[in-house]
Amino acid sequence: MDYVLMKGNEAIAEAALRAGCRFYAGYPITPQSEILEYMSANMEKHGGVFIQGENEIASMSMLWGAAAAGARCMSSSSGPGFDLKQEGISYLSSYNLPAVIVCAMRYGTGDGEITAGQDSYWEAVRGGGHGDSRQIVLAPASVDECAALTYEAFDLAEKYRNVVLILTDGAISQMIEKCHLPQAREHDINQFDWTIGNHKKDDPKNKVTNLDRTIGYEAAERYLRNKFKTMHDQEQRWEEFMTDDAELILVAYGISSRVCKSAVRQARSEGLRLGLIRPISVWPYPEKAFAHAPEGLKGYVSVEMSLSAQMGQDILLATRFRKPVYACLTTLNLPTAEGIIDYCRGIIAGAHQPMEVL
Amino acid sequence: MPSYKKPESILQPAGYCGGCGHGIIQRLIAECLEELGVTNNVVNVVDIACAYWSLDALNFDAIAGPHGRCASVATGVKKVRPDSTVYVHAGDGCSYVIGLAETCYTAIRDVPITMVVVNNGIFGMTGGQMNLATTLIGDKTLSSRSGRKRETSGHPVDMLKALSSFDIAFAARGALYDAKHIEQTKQYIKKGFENQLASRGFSIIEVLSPCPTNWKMTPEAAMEKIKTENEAVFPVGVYTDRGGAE
Amino acid sequence: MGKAKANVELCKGCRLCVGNCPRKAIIPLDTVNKKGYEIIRVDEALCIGCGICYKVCPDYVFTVE
Repeated sequence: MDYVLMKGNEAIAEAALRAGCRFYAGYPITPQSEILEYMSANMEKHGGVFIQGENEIASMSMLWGAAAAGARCMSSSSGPGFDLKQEGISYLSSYNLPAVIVCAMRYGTGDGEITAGQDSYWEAVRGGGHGDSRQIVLAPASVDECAALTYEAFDLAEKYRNVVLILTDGAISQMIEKCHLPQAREHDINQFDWTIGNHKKDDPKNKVTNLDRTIGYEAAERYLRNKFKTMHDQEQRWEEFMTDDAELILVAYGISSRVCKSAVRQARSEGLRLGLIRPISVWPYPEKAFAHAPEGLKGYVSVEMSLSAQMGQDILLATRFRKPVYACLTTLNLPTAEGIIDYCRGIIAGAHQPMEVL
Repeated sequence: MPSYKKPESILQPAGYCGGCGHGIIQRLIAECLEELGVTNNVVNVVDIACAYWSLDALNFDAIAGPHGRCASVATGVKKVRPDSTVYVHAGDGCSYVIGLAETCYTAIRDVPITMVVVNNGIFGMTGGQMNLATTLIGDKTLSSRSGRKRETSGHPVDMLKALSSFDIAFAARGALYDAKHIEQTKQYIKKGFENQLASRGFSIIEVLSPCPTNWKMTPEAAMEKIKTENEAVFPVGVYTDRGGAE
Repeated sequence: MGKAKANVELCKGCRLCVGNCPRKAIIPLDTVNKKGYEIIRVDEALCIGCGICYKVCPDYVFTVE
């Protein structure tokens, strides 16, 4: 297959179009605006609808109207804009509707910084507004993966009738590198029996509202529990790199995982046996990757661009506190291979305490 | 002799309080769609408030918008299903307060939907709080116990004047306090649907409607209040009618 | 000439029909329906089948055929 050179954001948008996404609504915010711009330039060519919304909330509301009508649809945002997406994600969840939402993380609370960061992790994996919704969250670590995961996200969203989040960051979104583009396909808006506005469908009419109102509380609870459990058990994805004999296993996703991979190589050339677990799905968290720790493993090191060890808490849960978990947190700075190796040597020398749960 | 019979599209008894105008509005909508012969391809977008009762009551595909976002939800549906007749049945809290931006930009985009807004001057579903857009100065509500004051809460706004300043197909206000005005309101709603069927753009029909329960009045007194007080601030009639080729 | 027929089980006792009937043909009653609302009765002798009760009723009580 041929490849092209693209920005991460553009690869996400192009892959969505190739997956048959024909409805996009969003609001500009750095560092995800290229997705919106790409959609504005290319959606009409595919016979789809692009709307620049008056705000995030309105964009999400348009999105679930479109999702209920049967379209494959997408929106994207970052930081404070992603906060505003939560209402929409919550309603999509309560209505049992599929959609793909992209969050290109920046760093910092409030406005934060428009550069790369990874501190929307909790909001992505625990969020989705108030209530007990769960979203599949996929975290690409390359432009190629931006395209592949976005393309697949639409299938997952429909398979489970659920929101799928693409959790990228300012670095992955803005990076230009080679990308394999998936084959274009069309989506039939009449293929599901739950959509509204399909006048060829026989009565009864479809009512899209809270699932508990259409099938009853007990049935809705049973259905959702089962759905979340199935997603949790079936959709864990990760990559392992040189973990078999590792003294310390780095755990990182997205941009941090790229640096970690070079840190593993460099450390091993210096005699320090590091390994890497790279979660590709961060919800469900790839607990299976932590089921069997290699003999002699001294602990896991969560490498994150955040102030708190956010993903680190998921490592503690995945390991059931069996091994120490350390946190190498670089906030708004990209981690460096040297910095990670220094930190790991510090762990072995007893200079660092395991992470705290705050 | 004309005959009068509940539209077949209404499947359930009205779920509203006694004397509430929503039941009449729901019936007018069903009557118009039946008279236009388009009942097999309708999407009803209701607000999560009193209008929610029309979701199951009418034999149309339906989706509950979250509070305030009905115009946006309807936009999403209409863009994907341009052949469907998509309408909004929502209150003044949804359309003019929390969702004012959504209502305005749907109008500005001139999305060819029909939006029916129930102006009853109060937050009905939550038990009777002040509506910043439509509660009259002096009206007592649970959040304006001694009467709405201009100094603290501003004044009610004729949103149809604001919306008419955008280039939209149709804006009109009807009332429900007697059979004549109910018939006039029906004609406005019908016009809104005819515009949509002819792809003429955004139509909004506001309806002065009573909320006897939260106004703490008898239904008859509530209708009288609309006639003598509310209509003076919110005049009935056509605000804009862009017309267009048949 | 058609006469108004009332399905009083749908009635919520709002009395809007009573005040709007041009012939005073709708009589408010103390009797309640199954839901406990005080209902009405149509005096067929006075009813002219104009349909105003149908139009003002929020609860689809009336049919005129």
